[in-house]
Amino acid sequence: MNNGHGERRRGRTRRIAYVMGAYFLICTLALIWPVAGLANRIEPVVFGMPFFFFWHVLWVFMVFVGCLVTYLWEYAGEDE
Amino acid sequence: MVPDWVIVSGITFSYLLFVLYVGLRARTRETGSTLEQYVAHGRSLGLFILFFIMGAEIFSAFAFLGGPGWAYSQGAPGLYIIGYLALGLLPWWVIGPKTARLGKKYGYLTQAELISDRFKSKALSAIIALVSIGAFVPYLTIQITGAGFLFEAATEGNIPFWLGGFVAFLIVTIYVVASGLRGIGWTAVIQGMLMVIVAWVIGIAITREFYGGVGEMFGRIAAEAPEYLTIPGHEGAMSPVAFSTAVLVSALGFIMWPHLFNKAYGANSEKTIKKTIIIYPLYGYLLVPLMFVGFAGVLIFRDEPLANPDSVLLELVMMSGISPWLVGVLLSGALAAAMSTGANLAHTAASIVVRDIYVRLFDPPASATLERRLVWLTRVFVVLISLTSFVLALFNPATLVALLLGAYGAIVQLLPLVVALFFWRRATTAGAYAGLISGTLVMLYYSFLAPPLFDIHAGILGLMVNTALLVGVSLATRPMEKEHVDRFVEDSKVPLQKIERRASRPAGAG
Repeated sequence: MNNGHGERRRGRTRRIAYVMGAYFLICTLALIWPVAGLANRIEPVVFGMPFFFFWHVLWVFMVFVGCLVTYLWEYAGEDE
Repeated sequence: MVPDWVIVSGITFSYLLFVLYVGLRARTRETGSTLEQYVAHGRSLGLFILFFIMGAEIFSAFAFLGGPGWAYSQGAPGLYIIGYLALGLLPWWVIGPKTARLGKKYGYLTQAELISDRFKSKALSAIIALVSIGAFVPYLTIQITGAGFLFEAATEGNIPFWLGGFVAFLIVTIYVVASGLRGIGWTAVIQGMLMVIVAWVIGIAITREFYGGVGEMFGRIAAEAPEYLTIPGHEGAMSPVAFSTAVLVSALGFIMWPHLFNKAYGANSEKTIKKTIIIYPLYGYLLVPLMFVGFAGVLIFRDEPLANPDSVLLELVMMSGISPWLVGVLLSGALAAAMSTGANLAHTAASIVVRDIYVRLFDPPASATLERRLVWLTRVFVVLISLTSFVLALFNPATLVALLLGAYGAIVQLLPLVVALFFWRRATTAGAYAGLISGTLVMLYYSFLAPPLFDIHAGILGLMVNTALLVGVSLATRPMEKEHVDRFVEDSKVPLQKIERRASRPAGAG
C-alpha cells in the first residue's frame, strides 16, 4: 500500500466517523429531553401505539439503519 | 385427568433437559486444556453464536418480570429501557474493536487486566474485580429468584420457590463447568430464539384476549388513564430530567459490563463485533410486546393493584385461561431468559476471580500445569458463585435491587478510565485512582444517603466528578512514560487481522 492510498483511506475513515458520529448524536438527542419532550404526547396514534411509545420504536429502527449504513460504508470495496 | 401443573412442569423439565444436552454436547476435546480456551473460546466465536450470547445475556428475568412490571405500575417511564437498548451498544463500535485488538496483541482475557496494565497497578485490578463481583452476585441472585418465582407461579405452588430456582441453576452450572463459553453459546442460540417467540406470542395473545388488540388497548388507556402514556407517568413517577439521565447513564454504562469485554476477546474478527452491534438494537423489539403486557395490566388491575408489580405478566397469563401446554412453553421461554443470563454472569464472575485476583496478585509462574489448575479454579468458582447467589436468593431481601443499582452505578465509573486508555496519553495512575474512587463515592452518596441533585441520576453525578478529577489529577502529576502509553493508543489502531498473536502469554504481566 503506497502513501497516497493510505492518506485517502485515512481521510475516508475520518469522514465516516464525522458523518455517522453526527447521525448517532441525533439519535441520542432524540431520546432525551429537550427533544424527546416534543414527542411526549399521546396523539397522533401510530400503528395503534401512543406517539411517545411509537417514538421509541422508531428510533430503535433508526439506530439499526445507521449501524447498517456505517458497516457497509466502512467495508465498501473490500472483499470478505 | 392429569392436573395442569403436571403438564406445565413436564414441558418445562423436558426443555431444561434439552438445554442440558445441547450445553454438554458443545464440549470438545480442546475444552479444558488452557484457560484461554475455556474463557475466551480460543478467540473464535462466530457471528451467529456471538449474537445470541449477547442477547441471552442482556435479556434476563428482568425483561419478563421487571420490564412489564414497570410499564404496569408507572407507564411511560418504562420506555427508557427501550431507549437505552437502542443506544447502549453504540460506543462499542469504537471501543469494542480496540479492546479486541489489544486483547489479541497482549493476551488480555478480562477488562481489569487491560485497565490495570495501562495504569500499572495490580491493586486497581483487584479493585475493579471486586466491583465487578459486587455487581454480578446480586444480578445472578435476581435471575435465580426470577426462575424460582416463575416455577412457583406457573405450577400453582406445587414446585416450591427454592426447588425451581435450584433446578434451573444446577443445570446452568453443569453446562458452564463442563463446556465453558462454547456451552453457553449453543444453549444461548436456542434460548434466544425461544425468548423472542414467547415474548411476541404473550404480547399479542394478552392484548387480544383482554382488549381485542393493541390499538384498542391504548385507546382505552388514553380515555381512562392517559397519565400512564406520557412522562412523568403515573403519579409523576419519573421527571423528564430523571428519565433523560437514566437513559444516558445506561447508554454510557452499558458497554462497561465486564462480560462484554470477555466477549470481545472471544470474537474472531472486527466485522463480527460490528455485525453484532448492527443487529443489537433490534433486540429492543423483544421488549415491545412485553411492554404491551405491562400496559394491559394498567386497567385490569386498576381497582385492586397487584402487591408485586413484577408479577403482572404471570398474573395475566394465568387469568387468560390459555392451555397448560402453552403455559409450559411460555415458562420455558422466561426461564431461558433467566438461565442464559445467569450462565454468562457465573462464567464471567469466575474468570474475573481467577484472572484478576488470583493470577494478578499471586503471579504464579506460567506453565502447562498452571493452565490446567486455572481452568479447574475457574470451574470451582463457577460453582461457588452460583451457590452464593442461590443462598442469597433464598433470603430474597428487597435491598438486592438497591444493591444492584449501586453496583451498576459503580460499573459506569470505569468509563472515563477506558476512554482515557484508548485516547488520552496524559492520563496517570493517580488520576485513575482519584477519578474512580471519587466518582464511586459521589454515586453511592446520592444513591443511598441524599436525594439526587435536580433529579439527575446518581451515576451521572459520579461520572462528572470522576471525569473532572481524572483530568485534573492527571495533569497535576508526572506523565507516564511515552513508550508505555503509546502502546495502548497506537496499538489499538492496528486492525485485528494485522495483529500477530503473542506466541506465549505470561500469566501475570501483560
